[in-house]
Amino acid sequence: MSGQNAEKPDEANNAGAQGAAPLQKPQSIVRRLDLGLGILVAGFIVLVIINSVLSVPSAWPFLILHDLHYHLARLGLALALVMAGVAVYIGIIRKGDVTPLFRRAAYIIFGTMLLEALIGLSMFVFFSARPGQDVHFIYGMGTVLSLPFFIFVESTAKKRPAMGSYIWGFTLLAGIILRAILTGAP
Amino acid sequence: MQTITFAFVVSVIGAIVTGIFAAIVLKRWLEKRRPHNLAWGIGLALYFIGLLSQVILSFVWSPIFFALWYWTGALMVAPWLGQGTIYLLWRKGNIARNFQMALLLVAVMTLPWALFLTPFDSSAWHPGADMTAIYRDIMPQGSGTIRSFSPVMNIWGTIALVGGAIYSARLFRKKQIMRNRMFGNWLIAAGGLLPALGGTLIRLGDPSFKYFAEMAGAILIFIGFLMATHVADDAQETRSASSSLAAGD
Repeated sequence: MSGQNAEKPDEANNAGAQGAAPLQKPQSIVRRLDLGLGILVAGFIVLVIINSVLSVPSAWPFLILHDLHYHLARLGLALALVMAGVAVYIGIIRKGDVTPLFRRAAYIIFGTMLLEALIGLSMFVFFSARPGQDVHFIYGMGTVLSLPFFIFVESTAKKRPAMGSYIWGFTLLAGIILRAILTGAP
Repeated sequence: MQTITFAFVVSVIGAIVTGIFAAIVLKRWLEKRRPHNLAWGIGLALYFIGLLSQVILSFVWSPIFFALWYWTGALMVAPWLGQGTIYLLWRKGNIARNFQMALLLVAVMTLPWALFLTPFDSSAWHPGADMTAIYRDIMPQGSGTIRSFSPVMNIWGTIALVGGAIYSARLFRKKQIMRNRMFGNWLIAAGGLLPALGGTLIRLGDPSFKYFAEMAGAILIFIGFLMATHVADDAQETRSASSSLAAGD
């Protein structure tokens, strides 16, 4: 039920953009942009791994994990700030609602943060690596939890538009990532 | 019996009052499923846990109960009680739900921080110790510690609870309707201010008032809640008042 509610504004937006035209064209653009963002994150990960392998002749798994953890945090911060800006533009300036592309981008960023946290956890579990301050674990948990809380509010919202949830979510996420970066360095 | 102090007695009374109050509000939430009742119920349950921890800390040192005492009293009670008022007064869009999620996120992050990652120095503790007087010696201070959340959370919660109650009381007075609710809201405002006043007095060097303020605050909010909800089942009046509040006029 909630999912259906959440999809309604998207359909309305698409229909509004195309008049009475069928929805295939906007959806295909959205899929391509989804794919683009996914490829961007995946390509970024591959680049970091290649960089680690080239910079250290005998690239141990730990170094790859360390570099991924380091760079994904910065990528997450940049994406969170960009998404917060886009959310402010769509929600406050254009008074619009959440679009399918925006929601999927939020899911991809949540996935990136989950991967980031799993990398950090595996560094701790398998290599006994510790962050600069123990509270880094708390901020790491916060980066994973912050988006789902607000995605839940948006996807179950009866009052539309509901872009405010993402303004909150991405702003908090950016702040938490920043604290996580500051407490992670030894 | 060194542990039976004034602070101990008022903590026990406060714990009993908040425990009963929390049960009543949570029962009301189970019956009506209104989100403000859930927020208040959680806030009162945390108030109860904080006072219970205070009673236990009068007898025995426990880092877990100390962490719970600090987490509930300094970080969580005021914002959760304020969240109930935000639900009632801020009905535009999803603002109240977003506030709740932010609060939930802070709660989920700070609880393990207080329980597992904050070092406590128990050398300042002794049976019957005044916790409000010694907590600064027990916990580390400075930016980047869990104590840095306390001012933000308390200001947020107190403004929401006390400000919301004063706003509602003034509204009922202006509209000349539901005198019970008007008086109830004044009492809730006074009850919400008392613990904050106690916190101010601690900083001024008189910690003993804090315990009395906690107990009296809980009792005043309880009486205010009972008065304010006395006419809650009067559907017509409630609906008109609610729509007025939602309209913000």
